[in-house]
Amino acid sequence: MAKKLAVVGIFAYLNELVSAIEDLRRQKVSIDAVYSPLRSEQIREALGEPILGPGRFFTLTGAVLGLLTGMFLAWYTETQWMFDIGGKPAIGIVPVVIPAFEFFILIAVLFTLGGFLFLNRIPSMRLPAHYDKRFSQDRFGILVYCTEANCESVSRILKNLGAEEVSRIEE
Amino acid sequence: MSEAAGPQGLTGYGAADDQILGAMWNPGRVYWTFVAITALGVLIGASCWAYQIATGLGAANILHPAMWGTYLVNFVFWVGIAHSGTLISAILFLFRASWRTTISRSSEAMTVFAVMIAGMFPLIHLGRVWLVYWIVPYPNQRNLWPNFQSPLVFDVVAVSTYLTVSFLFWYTGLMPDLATIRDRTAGIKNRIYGFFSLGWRGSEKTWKTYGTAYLLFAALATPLVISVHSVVSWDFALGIVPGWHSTIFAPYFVAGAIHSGLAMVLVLLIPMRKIFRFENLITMEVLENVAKTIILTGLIVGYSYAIEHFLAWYSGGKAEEQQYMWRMTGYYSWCFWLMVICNAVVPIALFFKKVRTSIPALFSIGILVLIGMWLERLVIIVGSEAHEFDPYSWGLYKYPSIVEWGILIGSFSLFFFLFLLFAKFLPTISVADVKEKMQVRRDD
Repeated sequence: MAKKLAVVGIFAYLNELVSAIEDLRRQKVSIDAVYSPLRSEQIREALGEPILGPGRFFTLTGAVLGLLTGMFLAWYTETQWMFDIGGKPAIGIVPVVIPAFEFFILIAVLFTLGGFLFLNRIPSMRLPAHYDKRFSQDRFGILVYCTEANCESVSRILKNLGAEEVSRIEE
Repeated sequence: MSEAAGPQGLTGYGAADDQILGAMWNPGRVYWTFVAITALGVLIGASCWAYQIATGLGAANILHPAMWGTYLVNFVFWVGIAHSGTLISAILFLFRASWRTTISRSSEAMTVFAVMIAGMFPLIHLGRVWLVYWIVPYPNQRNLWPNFQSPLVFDVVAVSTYLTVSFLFWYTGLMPDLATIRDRTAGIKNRIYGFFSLGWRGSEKTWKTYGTAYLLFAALATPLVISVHSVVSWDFALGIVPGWHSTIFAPYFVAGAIHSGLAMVLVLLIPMRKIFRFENLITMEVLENVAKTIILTGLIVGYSYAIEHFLAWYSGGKAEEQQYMWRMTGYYSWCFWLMVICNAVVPIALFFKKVRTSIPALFSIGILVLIGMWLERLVIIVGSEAHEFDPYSWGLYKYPSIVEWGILIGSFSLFFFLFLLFAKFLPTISVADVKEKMQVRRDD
């Protein structure tokens, strides 16, 4: 398989990174990934991304499934008990609320986590070749995939935008 | 947030890594002394439980009518301790109370360990612990499914859900920090932390999905935390025993749980910030905010004590009236009055800024509230069982046996032991959150 060429620009400061993202977008350079040691609203806004990701649909699915599971379990076990008491319904509604609520939360949380893992394609024990260990510590990074023809110009743009290091990587 | 509540004196993101992660590798001699003491306590607790399994539940002084004894007191106490963790990590997160940043990780860890320990007490109280699987809903030949109309089964579902959700919430929050440790270490440490960080990369996409997941976790954990202690309170309130059968039990228990949990936060964090030299991260203002929340929960708890006695008198039920009168004047009255003083009177001192900003005072009040909250559970559980409707069924649970004391010591030791292990192997303060609060920028 042909190797992909990439340029990674490393930045020391968040404000420099944010203005670099804005400039790159203005110059119509497509940004493939931005790495950061912290969660930043400024980066998200500079990239023009929505606040919430698609993970919430996993949560909703889990919540509905959980609610149904809790109700089914409680009602089914009630019918299996055959413990009928005069004046009380054979299948109660009030006692079902608690198992339904707890399963609703439990399965919604499990689906939220599952969605988070799925959307990020993790667990993944191998980090990409362009990943720099400093990205989880004190440096920010911009990854741009390029071709032989435009790698030089992308590197120059990143340097001009304040990247303290720019490296070309094949992966 | 005022500046003083946030991380102080950190010059760059690397400095946050160095200080918080550095504390893990060299915790110092005081740390190891505490590890040895708590490990000994765990051994004592384990030996006592083993002795009880070998000889039967008679090793505990649990007799009719007070059949629940200190084991259930401990269960409710530890579930309560767990509550402040979720309050700090989820509820305060939703309210954007940023003073939680440096204490949320430890509080979440506290929640996980406290629920684990709470979950052990029904097993200890079960006697024949190997039959615990009977509570699991699987079909068997006798068709004896767990009864989902029983508050005890509600409790199993609620506590196990709470444990799972608290653990996943804690673990998800840990992922970015585990990746930081992975990237700062080599060899076996790198492999272990790399495995548990699940390949975290910190790309914008990862942070965005992480942010969504964390927000939804917080939103789901918030009603859960309210529900769990409400369900625990219904173990009692759905019974007809005077002293238990009360509609205010759910909010009363939730407030009490948060009260005790916040006290435990003070008791854990005050030594921790000293041992790990985190004074610039867990600032005085953070502790002051915890103290202010304790004032609120203390007032709710004090109000609940007053209102349940008022209702017992106002409702005119003789058994109820007698129960509450006996609570104030009977065999356990010293526990009752000590409970009132520790939980409702002592926290009033926190109205004074001088007290709120004094480390010894905060630590002492934390300890007193913990004692008070343990006694509250004793007064409610044991006191009510001991003095039910008819005088012929009255009885006393006089003293916990040596085995019960040993298990109580063991539970506290296990809690602190697990917390110490956590402080050694995982960052006690969320590095990623601290970095988020820092304003490191180049000003041209």
